[in-house]
Formats: sequence, C-alpha cells, structure tokens
Amino acid sequence: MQSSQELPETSRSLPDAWETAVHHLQEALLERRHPTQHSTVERQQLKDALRWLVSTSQRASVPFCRYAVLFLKEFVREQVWEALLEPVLGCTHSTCAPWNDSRKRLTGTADCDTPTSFDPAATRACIAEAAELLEQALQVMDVVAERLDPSRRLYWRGALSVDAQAVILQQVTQTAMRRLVRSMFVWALQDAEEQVVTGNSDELGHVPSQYDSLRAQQRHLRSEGDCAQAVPLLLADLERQLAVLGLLDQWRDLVVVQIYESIEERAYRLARDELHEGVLDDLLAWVQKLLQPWVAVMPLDPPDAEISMREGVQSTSGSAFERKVGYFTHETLLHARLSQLFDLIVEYPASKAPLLDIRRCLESTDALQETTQSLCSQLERRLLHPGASTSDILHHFVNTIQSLLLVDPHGYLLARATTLVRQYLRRQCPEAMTRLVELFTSPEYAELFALNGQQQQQQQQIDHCPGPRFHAYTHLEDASSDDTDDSRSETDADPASSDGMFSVSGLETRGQIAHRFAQHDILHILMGVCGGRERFIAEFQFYLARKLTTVMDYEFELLVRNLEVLKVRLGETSLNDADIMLKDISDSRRFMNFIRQEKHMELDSKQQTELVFISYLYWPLLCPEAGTHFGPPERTQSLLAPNLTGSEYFATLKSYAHHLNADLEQFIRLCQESFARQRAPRVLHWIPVAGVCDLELEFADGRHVEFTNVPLLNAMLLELFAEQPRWSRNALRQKLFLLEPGGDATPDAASSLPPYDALLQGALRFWSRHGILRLVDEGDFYEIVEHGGTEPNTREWQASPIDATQIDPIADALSAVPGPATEKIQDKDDNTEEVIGNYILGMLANFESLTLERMHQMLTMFCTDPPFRGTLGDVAACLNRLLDAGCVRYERGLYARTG
Amino acid sequence: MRCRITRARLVAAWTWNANDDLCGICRLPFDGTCNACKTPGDDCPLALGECRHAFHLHCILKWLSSETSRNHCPLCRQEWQFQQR
Repeated sequence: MQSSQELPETSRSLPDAWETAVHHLQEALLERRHPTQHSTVERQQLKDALRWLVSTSQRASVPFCRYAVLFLKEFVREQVWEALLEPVLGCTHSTCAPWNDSRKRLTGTADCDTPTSFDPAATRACIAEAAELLEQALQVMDVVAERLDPSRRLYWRGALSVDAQAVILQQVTQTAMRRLVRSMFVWALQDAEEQVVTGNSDELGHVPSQYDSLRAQQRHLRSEGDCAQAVPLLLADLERQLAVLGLLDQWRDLVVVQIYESIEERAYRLARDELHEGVLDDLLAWVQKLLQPWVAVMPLDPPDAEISMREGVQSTSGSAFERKVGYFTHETLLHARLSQLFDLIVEYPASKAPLLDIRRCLESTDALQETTQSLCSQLERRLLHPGASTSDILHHFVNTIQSLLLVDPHGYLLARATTLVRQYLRRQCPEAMTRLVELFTSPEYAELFALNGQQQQQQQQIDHCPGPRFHAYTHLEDASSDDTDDSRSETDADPASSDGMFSVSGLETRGQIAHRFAQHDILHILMGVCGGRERFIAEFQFYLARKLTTVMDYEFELLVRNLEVLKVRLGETSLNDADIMLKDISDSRRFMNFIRQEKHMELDSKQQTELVFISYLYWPLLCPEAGTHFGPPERTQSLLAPNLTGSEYFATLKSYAHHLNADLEQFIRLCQESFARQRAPRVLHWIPVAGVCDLELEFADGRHVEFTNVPLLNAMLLELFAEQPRWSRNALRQKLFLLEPGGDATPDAASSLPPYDALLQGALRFWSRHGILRLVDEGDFYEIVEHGGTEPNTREWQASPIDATQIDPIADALSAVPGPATEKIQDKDDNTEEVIGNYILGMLANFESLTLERMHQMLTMFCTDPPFRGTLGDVAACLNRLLDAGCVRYERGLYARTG
Repeated sequence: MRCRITRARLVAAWTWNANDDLCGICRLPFDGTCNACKTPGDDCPLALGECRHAFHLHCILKWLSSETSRNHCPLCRQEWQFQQR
C-alpha cells in the first residue's frame, strides 16, 4: 500500500499524478472496508490525504475539480457510511458484551430491542469521526467550488451534505439512531443517578472498559459533580457533531421520545409492586433532578397543541415542553396506578399514600373520565361476578368508598362505582342486606362506623394538604375545569340509573354530587346500595333476634353498642323496636338472676339453663314459618310485625309445641310460676322451636362430640335416639310433636297445622349431615351412628365443639332442596337421576349459575351419604332432563334456575 | 349413645293476662303500648276494672280525666273502679 505522504510529492505538478494518487487513495479506501479496524495511524493518513486534497485543489484545473467532487462524494459515502453503520448496527465486534451485562444490571431489565453487541461509546466516536470527515470534505468542497463555479458553491456544498445525509439516513435507520440515543440517555441517567445515590463515582470498578473513556470524559466534564451542568456539556459535543451531519432534528425528536420513555419506565417501575408507598414525590424529584437538564436543552419552540388548548394556563416558569413533561409525568403515573387500582382498594388503609398519588395526578391531569372507566371495568371484571360472594363484594365496597373519597373527594368516582355495585347487587344478590348487617355488626368494622364524624375532618385536612408539584406545571384552575365538567357529566349520564340518590343525572355538576355525598356517610351509602334504610333496619332487627335466640354466647355489649351507633345515624324512633328487644334481654337476665337466687336448690347447677322472655310484638316473627332455624327468612313485608296478636298468636305457638325433656319442662314451669307471681298480671308462654342448647354426645366407640348452638328441637330429637337407637319417621313425628297416634292421617296442607314433616325433616337432615344419624336401608328408619371411626373429620370434632349456626354453604346448598323434593330424596336411597336433579336444583338455588364441571365436582365432593359416583355425562343427562322440564336454563356455558 | 344438654336457652313470650287482646280505647294490642308510650310491659301497664274490662292504664286515665266519661267504664258504662288485688 502506498503511503499517503508520498502523494503530495508525486502529484503536485501533473494531473496524471493526481489521478494516480486518487486511484491509490481509492484502493486504499476499498481495502479497508471496516473503518473501525483502521489503526489510528491509518486514520491519520486518510485525514492527511484530505488535507492534501484541500491544499492541491486550489491549483487544480476544472476536470480535476470535477473528479475531486466525485471522489469526495465517494469518500464521504464510504467513510461516513462505514463509520456509522458498522458499530451502530452492531455487527462488528463482540467486545460489547460487558456493556450489555452492566446495562442489564443497571436497568434491571433485558431490553430485547438492543442487539447483543451494541457499543454506544464506539458509535459516538464514529459519529464524531464522521462529523469530522464531513467537515473536512466540506472544506475541500468549498475550495473546489470556488475554482469550479463560485456562483454554484452553495449548490455543490448542499449536494454533498445532502448526499451524505441521505446515505446516513438510509443506512443508519431510525432504530439504530434511537438505540444510540437511548443508550446514551440511559447511561447518562444511571451515571447521574449513581452519583446522586452514592455521591461517589469511584465505586464503579466493574464498568466495562469501552465506556470508561466516556465515563472519564463525563467525570471530567462533571468537575463540580452537578448533573445539571454535566449533561449540557456532554450534549454539546454530540449536538455539534450531529448538527454537522444534519441529523440534529431527528436526534432531538429521539431525545424527546427518550425522555418520555424513561419517565414511563420509571413510573411503572416505581409503581410496580409498591402498593403501600406513594411514589409521585420520588418520581417528580427524579424528573426534576435527572431529566430537567435534558428537558432544558430541548428548546421545542412550536407551542404544543395540548398545552396551548388550555388558555387559562399561564406558565410562570419553564418552557412549554417542560410543562408538557410535567403533565406527562402525572399522566403516566396515573396510568401506572390505575392498572393497580383494584389492588390498591383491596389494601385500603395501607394504600393511602398511592391513592393520594392518584388524587394528585388527577388534579394535575384531565383523566377523570378515563379513571372512571378503568375503575368500572376493574370492578366488573374482578368483583362483580358470580365467583365473588356477597360479603366479599361488600367488604371490598367499604374499601372502595373510603379509597374513592380519598382519591376524588367530590364523589364523582364514588357515584359511578356505587351505581355499578348497586345495580349488580339488586340483580344478583338478594341477600346483600343480610350480609351488610353482618358486616356492620362485626367488631372489625365497629371503628369504621363509629368514627364517622371524624372522617369528614380528615377529609378536609386532605383537601387542604398541599402537595409538591412539578415546578413547571400549573394545574387546572377551578374556573376552567367547571366548564369541562358540565359537558362531561352530561355526556355520561346513565339514563338507566336515574333512581335514588346515587345516580349521576345529566343536570348535576360534580359539585352538586359532591354536596350530596358530603351529607351521607359510608353507612348510608352502603344502605343505599343494598336496598335502603327501611330494609336495613328490618334486617338489623332480624339479626338481633337471631343472635339473641340462636346463639349461646354473644356479646351483648357489642350489640348494645351497634344499636347506639345506629340510633345516632338513623334516629331513635326508627330503632325503637330494636331497643325494646335489647331491653327484653336485660330484663330477662335480671329475672334469671332473681330466680337463681330464689330457687337455686331446685335448679340443677350443672345445667346452665336460662330463659329469655320477649315482647313478642316487637320481635321479628319467631314462628317457624319465618324459618328462624331452617334457612334464610322469608323476605316478606311481615318480617317485623307478627300478623297475629294475643290469643291467636299463643294458640299458634301451642300447635308448634314439641317434646321437652323433664329438666327443661320443669324449668319452664318454674319460670312461668315465678314470673306470674312477680309480674302479675303478666304471664309467660313458652315459644317452641326457638331456643338453643349445647350438647355433649358420647358414642359407643368412645367418640366424644360437642355441639354448640343446636336448635332445641334438634336436641330433643336426638335425645329420643338416646333412649332408643332406631326410629321410624312416623313414630318420631308423633313422639316429638306430642301428636295423637291417629293424627298423622291429616294432611298438613289441608289444615292450619304446622308443617311437622318439614320441621322433622329439618332436624333429621341436620343430624345426618353431621354424621350422627343415618337413614337405614328400609328407607323409613333412622338410626344412630354409633361407630363413626371411619369418618375422617372425627378428630376435628373432638378438638372444638361444632357450631351449628356455622352452616357450610355447600352443605346448605345440598340440603336447601324444597320440601316435596326432600321427601323424595329421603324415600329413595340411591343416586337415582332424580336425586341428582334435586341436588342440582339445590345448588342452583344457592349459586346464581354454575358450569357443568363445577356441579359435577361439587356433587362428587359433597354428596357423601350415599357417595356420588356418577360421571360428567350422568350429570349432563340429568341437566338435560331438567332443561326439558323447564326447571333450569342454559346460557353461555352456565346453568341457572328459571324464575 | 349418651346425650347431655350442658347449656340451654329457652325463649318465652310474655303477655298480659287479660280477657281481651286489644285495648278497648286505643284499639292497640295490650302486649304493645298505648299511643303515647314506646316501651311495652311495666312502663305501659294494664288497668283492670271491677267490671273485668281491661285497658291500657294510660288510656283509661286519659278517659277518666275527660269531661264526658263521668267516671264510667267506656265499654259497659258501669262506674269505673280499679280492681284491687
């Protein structure tokens, strides 16, 4: 190869020599296809050749100049192209792996967009070189053009750089450019970040070698350790070089994209898995500290349309782009948080800080509509489906209310969520009110409902708590937001939800909704969702009645407290009945104490028996028709007031009378006598069927089982089995209900007699479900299960008493078969299709709808007496039969009951 | 099998041992209250006359204090006398 230093000497005089020199130069260039493989010396030689061209071209003739132009084009094409393309596209060396490793380490994510061997430092160096070469080429061009045609100098110059740019742009695609900017950006940020965190940049021992130089350069630039100064300096070089290449505009766009992407990545990274801590301040501080220098050097002059639309916004500081970045930061974090909104609500008290993040983001952006949609779709997808139990929905909804009031104190979001939940509950969950009362009375929620006065204070504090804002971002003025709100609420007013106080009507502004919500506390909202105040009171009274008569151990003080809280909320008068119920209980307790003192000799001290006497007109119906013990109460209007008074009522009670053992019989008599003496002219009447007891059972195989809260009727039934291990249903019926032997000929429906069979059936089912009794083969006989050793859960029974009020919902599902069907089940002793059908109907009564697989699964799991061994096909056949009979309907893979 | 009841709670309803279910004056059940009262039982007791007619105490007192009653039982128009026990 010819040394470039020889060129000047041989070609200084003759055009031939010039041509030869050019030829050799070209050859030299062609040989060295890969500029990155050039040694420093060779690069130097090439540059010298250029310089020589510059000096000789002044004396060259026109043809030489023409040739020089060609050469320069070629030269630029080759050099710039090669210099940029190879390292940018990353196909040269494998020395870049360490960089990637470290990058992965720093970002925590493997970026699949980046090729395995991408070396930003080399790319930068190449850009620098390309810029230098082009600059020199342009100098040559100037001189050449001067000689050639001074008037067309600019044209030539333009042609050359346009050509160069075209080559570069064509080859160095946007992606490669983006990669460069991205890695530079990430690198610079991480470097700055490390510095912020550690304050010491010497700890970077394992940094890959090829960006040591860059790092050193930056460290040098960053003599004061201030990233705000370092970044512009770092950028200045690159910017100048890119300007020479004519790529500055593209590059700026790429940096803008990078700024947005890094904010996005940062926001999602901060928000991910962080449900308890607020990250907005962190994010804003990060943007301020690390991105601001980049943002500041981006003088995007055309005012952004999005920002300029808001005419009320007068920026006090910062460019439009800075404001835009501020807006974007809030918006991005909002999006990141919105995707977690449901989880945040689940976590509620712990997730206050993130929720406040959302609130501040909402204040700074215009995304309320989007937030509402996101919330509603998440609620529908994750909460309001048949898989969620009603009490789960209510628990979640309590959190939702609190969270949403925190996020949006105006209550707009809450109004939408409330409408949604109420519609679902009304459609799907008739028992919602019962669950609400349970929730209200559960100790864990006592605080929530008791502390409502203070809640509003907290709310106001939140309202006035100023949050740090991105300095360049001015959030919406109230005046300007009002207009948009009006139009918004008009557009999404749901005509279907125009009932009740929680609907969003088209005529209301957000302020008006807020005003409405401010007047209602959580309990009122919940009551509205579940069916109203009156239903709630009725259900609460029913709850009290059930608690006081069917549970042995209850916390009387807690009930009193619940009642007091309700009185404050709903007014004394509406809860008068409940008040009287609790007063009855304390009266009864006083009376029992008196009796115990007076008659303690006569009462068996081992057996703790007590009597509750009630003002029956004020208690929910305790007659068995209301199903106090045998399933959910009828939702009739007569829930509260028994429709019978005085003598009629007591006559009805009498017909329900059942067998009592001698002890209890004596106890009742004693109480009645005592009461009649003490409170004359009042007397007591025993209410059969209502009443509970604790039982201890001992079996022949040594099993010892305890039951608690067993209905009295069931206990009496079992006592009969203690006397005699095997009974027929008829005999049981006569014995238990003290009937005349001939009495069972009367059909129940024809007279006003109580449904003895159903009561007996309930009691028998209760014991057989617990494995105490079993139906024996002849069909009509029950006998006691003395040897239950094979039962797997016997041990559990010994550990703690079985609470009869805690009925397994599935077992309940299987037993909640309507009356006549039950009889049939018991009559046939095997898994006939009919039995399965009844079970299915029972399941579907409790669950809204089920798939075939689920039903089969449940049947095999829970039908143990006798065990169910049918296949999926058997169940399907049975379902088909039911479909034909019109008992069930089939929609989209789910079976449901008709009507 | 042995079956032992360890604890039990029985429920009973109290009622006024009167000849009628409803008060002849206010037509409300004896086992409830008169118009003016809220708590049944001893707070709103029953009054039995010598004529064996029963009323809410508050009702009959109101009746007796009115001009038109002339101290008669509102049902049988005999002179009203509280029954002494």
